[in-house]
Amino acid sequence: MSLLSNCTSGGCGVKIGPAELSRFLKNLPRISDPRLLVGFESSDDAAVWWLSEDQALVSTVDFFPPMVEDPHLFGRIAAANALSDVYAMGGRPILALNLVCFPEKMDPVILGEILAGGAEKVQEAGAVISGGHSIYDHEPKYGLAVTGLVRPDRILTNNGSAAGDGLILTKSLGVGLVMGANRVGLASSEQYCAATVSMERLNRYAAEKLSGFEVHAVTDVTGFGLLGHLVEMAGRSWAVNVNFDSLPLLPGALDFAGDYLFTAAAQRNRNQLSGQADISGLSLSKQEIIFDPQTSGGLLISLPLAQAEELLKAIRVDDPQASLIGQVLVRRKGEPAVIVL
Amino acid sequence: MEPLNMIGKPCPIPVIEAKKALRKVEAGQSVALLVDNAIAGQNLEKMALGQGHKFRSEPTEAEYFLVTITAGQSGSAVATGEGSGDLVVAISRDSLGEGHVDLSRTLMKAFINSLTELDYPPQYLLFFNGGAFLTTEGSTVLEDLEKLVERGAIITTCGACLNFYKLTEKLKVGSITNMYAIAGTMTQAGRLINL
Repeated sequence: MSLLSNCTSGGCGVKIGPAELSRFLKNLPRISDPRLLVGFESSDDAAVWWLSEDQALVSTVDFFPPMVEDPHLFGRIAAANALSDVYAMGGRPILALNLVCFPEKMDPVILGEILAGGAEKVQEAGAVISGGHSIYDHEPKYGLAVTGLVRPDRILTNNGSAAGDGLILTKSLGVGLVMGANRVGLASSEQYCAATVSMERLNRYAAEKLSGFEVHAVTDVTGFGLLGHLVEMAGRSWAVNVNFDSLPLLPGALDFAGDYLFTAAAQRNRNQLSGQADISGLSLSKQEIIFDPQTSGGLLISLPLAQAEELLKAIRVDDPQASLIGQVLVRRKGEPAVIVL
Repeated sequence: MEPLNMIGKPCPIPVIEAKKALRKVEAGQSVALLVDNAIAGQNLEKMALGQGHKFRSEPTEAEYFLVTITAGQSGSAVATGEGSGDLVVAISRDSLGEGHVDLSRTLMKAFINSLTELDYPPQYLLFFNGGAFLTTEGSTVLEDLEKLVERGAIITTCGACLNFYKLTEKLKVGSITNMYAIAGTMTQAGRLINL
């Protein structure tokens, strides 16, 4: 039995949409502890809990079914994805716990490979795995609960953008399209490798470059697609303008969109978001790119435009695909949150 | 005709199956698919409208969706370029058609660019005589030729021609071939376009 054989979909494409999610969340009791610095109200990447003047705890969890056949690679991608939320909050991961769902009938050697891959990435992040929890399930799933530390005055939320900011994206888009094409045998090995290299890349290296810059907001791009996060950053006050031609793209992604190899998650994102963005100037294939769900996507960083070039230069030393993709402007009455040209 | 059963098939499989089925029907004929979620139907709709077909979706008693796509002119087998055998494009010059040289060169560039946009690009592109200027340094179509290679096209240029124009060291895309191989590919082509 192969890793993907009984999976209906994989990676962040399986995320429950934000609209549906908020329906469930609204019935939960509101927490008003002053020590909870970031909670689920702001749909941020991780929760942050105040410990002391100079330390806060960052807590996050992420898991999903495999999107690749190679269990070791799947482990590495899942761990890079789970660790990313800590980086997106400005934190440094210290501790991780494995979360495992695994079919009873599947070869346990496969599970060993998944866990080994995950452990490698946690080690690369400078954190330790200190246990976990595993259950039998029909579909394999893997991920981690990650704890990190951040200085309370250095917390990077997803909603601090201001007019005059530039937006930097640190990884290429199109992971969902390339992996979808790969599952039906249409992606070349180069296209597949470019996507998996991107997914297993830690956001640590880009995050480390942020210190010293006046960063207003950071998030990591996930299954909600680039547009989902742009809308989030725009909030109610700002209009985000993005130039499509400046977006870094994985090889093949635009071609697969042109061949109508659309993913279900991108269409869910489209249904959810199209009212909030003006993308009418883009072809259908280009639209699919900005709705494309990203597994272990890059960081989306908002900081004053005057500093953006210098930060970009620093990030590009280790992540050469990083690009300045757009600007944050004042949103005039009746304007959409996001305009992509 | 029974609809294609796409229940339990994740995207993009329904779109791929629909495209396959549409290639086998004439304009005006329909392909039906049964999908188990609205999202798959919406992805089929984007493909259908993008390719100039008519789209209809109706909910079924079992809460599936019965999708009917009626092939438009542009989507029929002839227009998309899929035939039974390999499509071979043989190019012996760096410009397209008779007329002003500037226009003719622009047209060749546009032609090769259009090949990259086809659902079924050619399997072989053969370059000989003046065509050798298109696969070598200084050519304005190298990027499009690379795209065609990425999509599976085999590009070859006649070695004697490269040699004659002193371009052998400047070949940028594809491999070097000889007239025997060019003749073989042309005679065995499913369809041959000679420019």
